[in-house]
Amino acid sequence: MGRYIIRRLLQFIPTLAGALFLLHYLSSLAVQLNGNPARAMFGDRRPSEAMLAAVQKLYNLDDPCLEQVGNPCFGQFVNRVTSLAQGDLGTNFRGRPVTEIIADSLPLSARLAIIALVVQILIGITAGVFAGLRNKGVIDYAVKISTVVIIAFPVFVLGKVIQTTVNVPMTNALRDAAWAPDWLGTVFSISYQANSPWLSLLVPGMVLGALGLATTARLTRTSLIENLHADYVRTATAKGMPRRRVIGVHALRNSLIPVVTDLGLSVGVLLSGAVVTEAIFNIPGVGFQLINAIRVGESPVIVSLVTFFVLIYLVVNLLVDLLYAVLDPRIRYE
Amino acid sequence: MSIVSRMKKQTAPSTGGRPEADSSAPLLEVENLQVEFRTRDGVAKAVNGVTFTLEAGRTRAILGESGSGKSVTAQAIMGILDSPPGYVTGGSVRHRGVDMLKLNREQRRLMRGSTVAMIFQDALSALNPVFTVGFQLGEMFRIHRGMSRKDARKKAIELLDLVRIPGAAQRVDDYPHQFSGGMRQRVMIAMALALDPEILIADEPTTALDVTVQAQIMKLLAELQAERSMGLLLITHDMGVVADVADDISVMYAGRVVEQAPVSEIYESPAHPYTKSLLESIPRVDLRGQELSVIKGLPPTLTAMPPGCSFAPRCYMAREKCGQEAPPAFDVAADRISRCHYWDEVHPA
Repeated sequence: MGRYIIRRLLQFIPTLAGALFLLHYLSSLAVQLNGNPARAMFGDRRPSEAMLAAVQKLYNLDDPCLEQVGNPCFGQFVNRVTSLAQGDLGTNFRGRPVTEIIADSLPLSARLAIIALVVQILIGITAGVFAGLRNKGVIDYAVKISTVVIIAFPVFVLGKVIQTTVNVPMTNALRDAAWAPDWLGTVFSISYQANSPWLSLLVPGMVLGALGLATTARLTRTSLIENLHADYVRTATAKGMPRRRVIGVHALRNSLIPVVTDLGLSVGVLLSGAVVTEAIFNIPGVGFQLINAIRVGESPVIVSLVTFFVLIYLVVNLLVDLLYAVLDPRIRYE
Repeated sequence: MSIVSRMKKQTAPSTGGRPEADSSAPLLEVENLQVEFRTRDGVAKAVNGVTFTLEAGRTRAILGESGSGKSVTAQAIMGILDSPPGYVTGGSVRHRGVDMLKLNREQRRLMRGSTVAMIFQDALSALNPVFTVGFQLGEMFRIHRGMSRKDARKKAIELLDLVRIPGAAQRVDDYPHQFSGGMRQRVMIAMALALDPEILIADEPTTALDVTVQAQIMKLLAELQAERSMGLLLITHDMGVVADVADDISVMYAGRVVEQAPVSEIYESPAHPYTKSLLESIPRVDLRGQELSVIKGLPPTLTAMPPGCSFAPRCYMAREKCGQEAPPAFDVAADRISRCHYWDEVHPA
């Protein structure tokens, strides 16, 4: 077990290195193709050559390789990796350290992800179980159809649709309603409110969770239907176990093994979905910061944040693999 | 836990308002049992008028090839038919005079495991792979008897000891896949015996095991049955196993019992051509080198049964009447029946 974990952690290194290089190359390419962001900082004004050179130097944008389209800028890559290895994630153009940006925005994204995961697990598994038990019944078809619809919608469409069809009218309706408690207004607020960090994230969290929810529900359903015909389920019935227990303990426990694997993979969807959801609902989380960084071309921020995403994904999937062994005792990691 | 709630827990899983059992009535009486499977291809009569009695301490073997309806009969008695597509459409299954088919779902459930228990063929798939055997054994006591986890675990160890699993106290925390085939089947037996059932149904208990282990398992089953004077219903296709342990035999073919007799009589003088052909197809050491006798052809499809005798298409002595008229159950002797028009020719009295 310990050895397995060490081996997996060592596998992180090439993955991270590859991700870093790809990010570095893409952000260099962006500078090479779009022009130097240092010039953009002056807006309409025309800086003097000396001033421009000084700014470019300040933000490491003075390397001549940034003028040659397609040049991977190995020199800069080495510098970047060296400083990252020393724990220096760089700063944005305003001089704010990336570590500080992450520290400020991560709690928001984490809350958003927790809400999304809870929605995904609770509703997804419940819907999947009901659909599985009523195979080919009304509930089954309802779940099947609604999940297809959800899967078919990209998250930015779903987010915008919910915002304009639910949040906006609700906010308008609640504005003058004396009976409505304050928290209700917060739930349907158009953007994030720092004074109620959970409530105002509820709707965005549900939007984000809806994506994975559909997959979770379908997977739970299929897996349960398959396991309901398993021999050990028949044994549990023959043992005189109540139906609740036959399904809830014997069949479900086995059915959840593939679902847990999928939950691990869905963290990737969650991370990319968070970027979009945070942008739509104005939540200053990690994804929101990433979009801003991309907009202005702050390559240190982009590289650090996305690398951080990659790391989260790797760690979560390692945890899921370990959890797998807990759920299914037949799996042993040597 | 207060005394009141403990008493409640103990009395709760009792009769639950079911009709009083008559202790003088036979342990298990199956009468004219009908089971059909409603599938897309039509209705298949998987069990068609099965009738037999099982007394305490006796073993009845139900013998038949795959698809003859022997396992479905067992599942119908147990009340674990996959429904849909399987439905019991007629007949009765009486335990001490009480028709189990007329009980409600909860009453029926309470009988499973405590009155009637079942052992399945493949213990690897019949045991839940993600729970320890201790959990799966203990569950019987926790759910049926309301015992605590700790007491249930103790009981589980006792049971593993009973079925002679070495190192029961350690192995109780192992998972099914960590046991060998024979040991796994012992766990199955332990689970079935947990609540001291009166009737034990063993559905091909040794088919998935190798021959040496088969003998050990059958011996263990026979011993435990004798100790507890259970009625044992042994579902099998193995004529060898039957000869050793059974008292009575019901031979099934295409959903019907074609011959029913005490074991000694059936081996000496079969009264149905199917039984006779089966006996002749057992490999024998003294006939080594000779061609083995086989029954040619396949059993009929249950959705498209031939008129008349269902065995007629494969029967060596089939005549015109056999293809037209289904044979009723003829009384061959006091406790023997045969469903063959010409039973007296197979079995000269």
